[in-house]
Amino acid sequence: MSAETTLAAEPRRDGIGGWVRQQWVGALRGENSGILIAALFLTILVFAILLRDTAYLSVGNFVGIIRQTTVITVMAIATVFVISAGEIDLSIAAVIPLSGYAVALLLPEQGMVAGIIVALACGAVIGLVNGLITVKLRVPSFVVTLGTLGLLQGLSRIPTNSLAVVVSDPTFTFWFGSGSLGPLPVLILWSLFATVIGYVVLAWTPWGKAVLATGANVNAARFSGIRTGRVKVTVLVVSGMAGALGGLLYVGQFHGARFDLGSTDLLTVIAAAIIGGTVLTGGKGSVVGAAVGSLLLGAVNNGLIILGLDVSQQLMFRGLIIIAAVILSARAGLRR
Amino acid sequence: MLATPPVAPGGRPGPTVSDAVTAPTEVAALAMTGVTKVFGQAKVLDDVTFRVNPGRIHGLVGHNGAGKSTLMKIALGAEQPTEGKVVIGGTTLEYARPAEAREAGVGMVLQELSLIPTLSVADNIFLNDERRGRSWLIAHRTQRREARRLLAELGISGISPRDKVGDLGIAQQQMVEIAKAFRLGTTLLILDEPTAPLSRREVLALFELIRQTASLGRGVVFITHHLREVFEVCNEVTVLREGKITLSRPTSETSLDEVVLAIVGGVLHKVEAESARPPVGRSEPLLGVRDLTVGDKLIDVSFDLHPGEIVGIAGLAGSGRTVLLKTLFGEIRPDAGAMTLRGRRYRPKGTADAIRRGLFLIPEDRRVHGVVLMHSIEQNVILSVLPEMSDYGWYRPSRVRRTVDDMMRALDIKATGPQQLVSELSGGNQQKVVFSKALVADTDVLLLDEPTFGVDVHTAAEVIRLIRSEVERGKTALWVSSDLPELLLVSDRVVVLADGRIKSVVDRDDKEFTEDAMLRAIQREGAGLPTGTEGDT
Repeated sequence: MSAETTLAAEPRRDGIGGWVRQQWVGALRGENSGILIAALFLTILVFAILLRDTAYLSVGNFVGIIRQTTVITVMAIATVFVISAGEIDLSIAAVIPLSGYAVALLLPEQGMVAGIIVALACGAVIGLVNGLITVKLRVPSFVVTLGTLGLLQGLSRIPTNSLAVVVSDPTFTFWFGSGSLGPLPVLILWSLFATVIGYVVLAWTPWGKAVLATGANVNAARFSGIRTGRVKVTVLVVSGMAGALGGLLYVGQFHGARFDLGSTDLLTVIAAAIIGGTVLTGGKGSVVGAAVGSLLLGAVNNGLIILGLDVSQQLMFRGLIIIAAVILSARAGLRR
Repeated sequence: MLATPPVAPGGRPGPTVSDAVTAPTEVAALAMTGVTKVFGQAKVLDDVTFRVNPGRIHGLVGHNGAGKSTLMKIALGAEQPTEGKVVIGGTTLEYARPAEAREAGVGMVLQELSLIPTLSVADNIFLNDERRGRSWLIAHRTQRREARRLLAELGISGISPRDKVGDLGIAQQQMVEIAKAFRLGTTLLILDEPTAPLSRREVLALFELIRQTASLGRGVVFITHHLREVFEVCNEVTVLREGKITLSRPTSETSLDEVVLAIVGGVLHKVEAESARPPVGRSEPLLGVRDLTVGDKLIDVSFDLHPGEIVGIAGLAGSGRTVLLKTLFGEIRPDAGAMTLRGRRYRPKGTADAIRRGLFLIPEDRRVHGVVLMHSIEQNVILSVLPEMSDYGWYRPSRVRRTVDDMMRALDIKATGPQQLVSELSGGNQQKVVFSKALVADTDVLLLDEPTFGVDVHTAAEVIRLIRSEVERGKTALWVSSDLPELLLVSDRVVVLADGRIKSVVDRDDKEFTEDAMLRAIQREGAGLPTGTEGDT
């Protein structure tokens, strides 16, 4: 308890090595995404060499990657908020078919606006139920959302008896998946939009700080006058609505709704958030990291497909990447 | 008795006359009238009237469990009084929400830090009260500027508003916490043991800051065990004892001796005849410690533990008492010094090694380190002896049942059966479960960190009797307690620790083996009053 305790926080390191180290640790702590972007380019480079005789390294393919990852990105950003608040939402991807059917069935009769509103409301209600059970009945969100996951999987087979519904409304499919504004596909704009909004809300609004505080130390947050129960309900509502938006974007892309839309997305969504530097125990999250993480997973997946690996191998590879990311982030945490 | 000058000259803010106290027309920063709090059967606070005037620094002292924390929780709106009224700067608390007191202008520094480690210093200071620009976005730049100005104003250096709180040292975190409380506490600032993690220099800076706060016309409540600090910085002092106020007066009109007497209850502690025991034969020590040093937490500590004796450790939080126990238990590696166990060199590789060699630590926080709350009594009891409960890797239910039944009977653990969850037991019975872990592990050296904390009086007596009977069978115990009367009751010798060093070792038949002498001895060096007389008695 002498002079050491009064020293300032560790001095900034100099030089390129120091900078890289700082960026790396920062990325793993969820503070920035510089190193993740580097990792993304490295991955692309590796595949570009492996696949130099194919179309991998083409603008068209990269646009394709971003388009394919849009729904994952949107949901991963919402998941950053949920995990940062110390909760988890396993039902996020299970909202997709429900919201998809809602819009697909309502569109011809009630019009596009009504369909979109009802679809998003479905997600909000599911999130609200998750949140209220978590907060009021004190059931861990892991259990609650595991339950709603199963519930929704069954529920989404009911409206059409597991049949697909085609959507042919050109306005809807243009804005929610298939259109392009000049050279920019609409889906890329959705990714950008979600990232910017998510980043601003987490870093620049009191609510974002309340989310992080709740996840880091509930008691301290409460003693600071933050209504932590309300924060938790809100993040789960946001998460449900993100799932619903994901449903709209899939319907727009595939021109129809099916009960198995997004059925393999949950793992990818959580993986993107964690690779992006969001810590599973709460209190730390990075929106930009999640967006880059989602792109990274998309680029890897795309490369593996062109390499000719089948689905089983792709799934295994994705699992390995998640484990590696978590080990690295745990090590960064230990070093402190 | 020690001849200590009652009042420190100078260094105290404001007028020394108690003019503010005698002006009841002034709106008090905090006015608690007739506050009574009953928990179940126990009356924790009994008709307490406590008033803090603007511009005054009010020291609140008393034993652990005297009701200080409960009183302050009520003032913060975190706890509702059974009877009585709380008014903060003219606003009466309704107890609708805990944020009420905050809105009335109360800032507080709690004993456990209440900062968010993952957020920056500025974010923490402005948490839930963010500065905004013209839009709904946080004005980070403004927040940083204001935080920097606040820190500079408070004379806190070496901390940047951009620093992540989790990266700061504990003392720096404390300063951030104080800055946060200072900003919110426009009417009243409550500091609960703020000096524990601070060095002397930082304590002086903190005092300067407290004086400054008071000079702005705010009321300050300063809770501490360091009585010298009260005389150094406070205008008034209030002593709580068993939920009642036993002394409340300006510091200029009282003395350290008088405050000590008010804390211990007016009578000097007498050692009960019942506890007189035949002197322990100074046989071969069971555990020997020589020049043990751990960083600056523990410096050159040497003592012996003989079979059949209980040695008490008296010291305030931060005196090194817990570090000492953890070092003996193999959880902390010493930097220097030697330990011997039964005459042989003892260097535990870890806690498992220490348990195997016959030491067991009853930890301070039993709910965290002592028991697995969500497991049954049975699972907890056998946790430390799992290998003995199995043959060739196979679990032996009959042996487990026999062991656990024996323990529950021996310790009189009140439960529906061995399968009841520990979380459902009372604090006293939980502590007995912790003890049974030590007993089944065949322990020779019991390391006890506040073993009766949060345990009712009846069970505490049982625990004391139990430890004594174990010790009489040739074991030995090292007993750390903040409860000095208890320590004097159980110990054969008391080692006084302060600032990581042994200040004195007092034997049971020594004339210094009294509560008031100990209370003076455990105070930190160099604070407030001229030190002078200690140590040379």
